[in-house]
Amino acid sequence: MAIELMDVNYTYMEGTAFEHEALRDVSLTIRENEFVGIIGHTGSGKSTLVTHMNGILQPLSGKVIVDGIDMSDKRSRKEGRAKVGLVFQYPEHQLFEETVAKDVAFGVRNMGLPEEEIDERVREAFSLVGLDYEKFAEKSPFELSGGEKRRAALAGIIAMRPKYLVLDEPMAGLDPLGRKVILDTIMKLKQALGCAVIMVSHSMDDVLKASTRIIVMNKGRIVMDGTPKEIFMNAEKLLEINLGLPQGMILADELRKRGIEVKKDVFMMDELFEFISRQLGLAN
Amino acid sequence: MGIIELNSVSYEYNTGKETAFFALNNVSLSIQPGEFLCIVGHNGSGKSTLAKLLNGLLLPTSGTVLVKGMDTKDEKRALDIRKTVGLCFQNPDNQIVTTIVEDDVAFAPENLGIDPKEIRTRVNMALKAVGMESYATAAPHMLSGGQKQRVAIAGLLAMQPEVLVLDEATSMLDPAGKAEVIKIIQRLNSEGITIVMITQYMEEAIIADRVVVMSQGSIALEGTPKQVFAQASALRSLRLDVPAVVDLRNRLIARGMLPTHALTAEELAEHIAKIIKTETGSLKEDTLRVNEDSASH
Repeated sequence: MAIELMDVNYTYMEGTAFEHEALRDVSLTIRENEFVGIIGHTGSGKSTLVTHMNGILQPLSGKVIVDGIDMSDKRSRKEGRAKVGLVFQYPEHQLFEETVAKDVAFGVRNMGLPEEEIDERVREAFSLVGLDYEKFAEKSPFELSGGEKRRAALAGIIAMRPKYLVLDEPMAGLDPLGRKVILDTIMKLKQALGCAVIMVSHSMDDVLKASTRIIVMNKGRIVMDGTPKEIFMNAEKLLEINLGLPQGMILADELRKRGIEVKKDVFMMDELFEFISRQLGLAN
Repeated sequence: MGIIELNSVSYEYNTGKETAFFALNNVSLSIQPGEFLCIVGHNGSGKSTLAKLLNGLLLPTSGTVLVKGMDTKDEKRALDIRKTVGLCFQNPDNQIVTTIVEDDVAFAPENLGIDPKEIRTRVNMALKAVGMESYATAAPHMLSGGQKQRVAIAGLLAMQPEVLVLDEATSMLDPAGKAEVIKIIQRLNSEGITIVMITQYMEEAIIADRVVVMSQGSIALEGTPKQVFAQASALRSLRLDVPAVVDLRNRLIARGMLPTHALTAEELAEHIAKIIKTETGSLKEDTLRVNEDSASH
């Protein structure tokens, strides 16, 4: 079972002066249980790519298949869409119900489940994103802090129990603790739900920390696709398309410049910590 | 005396309503001419409110804000204050108003009734200062986020401000866009413009002369980047963090590495290389000495 994109092309405002080619011949298979980080410049096609995954955007040519369901088929699309939970950028802007509990329940309720199950799933979703049900359920979403709002929005998607959780810049605009809490929550969710995660992010360090696979987009095309090690061993290519490097990589490079031989595949902060400790003869 | 002086400034939103709350409590701060000041703080710490008080966009509920001695509450000085302090916001798309880059940069000086020839000179200089002179006749919507933000900054420079306040001006940009804008800001500062940069990215604060940490409407910490980032646990309790390199540095020091104030990858690498060199150097000396000793016996 997988999300498959086959030769997907998409152009915004085709045939007008503002025509903009956003995706070009994109082919991609995302399997269950992967944690896929998607990186690239603003305008590289990342958001367009992920909005194709649940059929919100339909390719101009090519196909999107979710667990065998062709997303171009209007009748079966709904079934496919239920498998793919999409959390947009700044999802807190979409909170609108009177209470947090109602907001979290909105999507599940549309699935036509019995009230009891809705309630159970909503409570579970609260706990999974780390919001205390008793404390927050009856509050207005607008009384929540930025980070709490974002967790509430995430809970609304989680309650639908997607097999594929797609997140477009889930940490944008949050303070450092807020960013850490959300990323940790996402990593925990993946464990708890056993779903695949597809996460768009500008932060190389966050993508490196969480992903089992990284996809690099540039000008509407996939230019790199591999494990974090494979991607970052090719640092030259990342620099060529002017993407930033993770902090650990920059440090490893600075050490090399000073004659300290750091292996090419050592760039995670924890690995560097051990490596430098050995070089300096520090005790464990 | 500072170019901007905040004296016991408080600011209350929704005064008189049930939802009233103080975003700033009794903040005093003196911003020095030519300084690069960075203000960091968690979501809702009051840092954006502070930014808007610096050019009179918001007026303090109590206390005073003086810009070159002019009180922001003095309506007659409002224009002089706005000319002195330019404010750049988070979203470049909300700041660009025309369909051609150079028109946008000329927008504010035109509204001030400045002589067209003078405007021409200022627009050219401002676009050059942000490295966008070759885009003078381009359409803003065709530009990248970083380029748009540079045009927004050029629009402020055309007013010839002495202070630039940037309220999370890089937060919506990708890494390349962020780097572009930071480079421009650093250059403007080296040319004498006072910079007040508000950010949530600790890495960006490293380049400042001084860092002010806001929490719950008050100043919680203040000092040079070295002083502030030496307080990792205090920062974490304020919902912030230290840059990743500083975190690694602290872990290494806790394991017994010779202490250092290194903040950047370059500084930390230099420190480590130096230790290795001296150690191997002193090892050699030790060996030499031992050899000499045994030779003399």
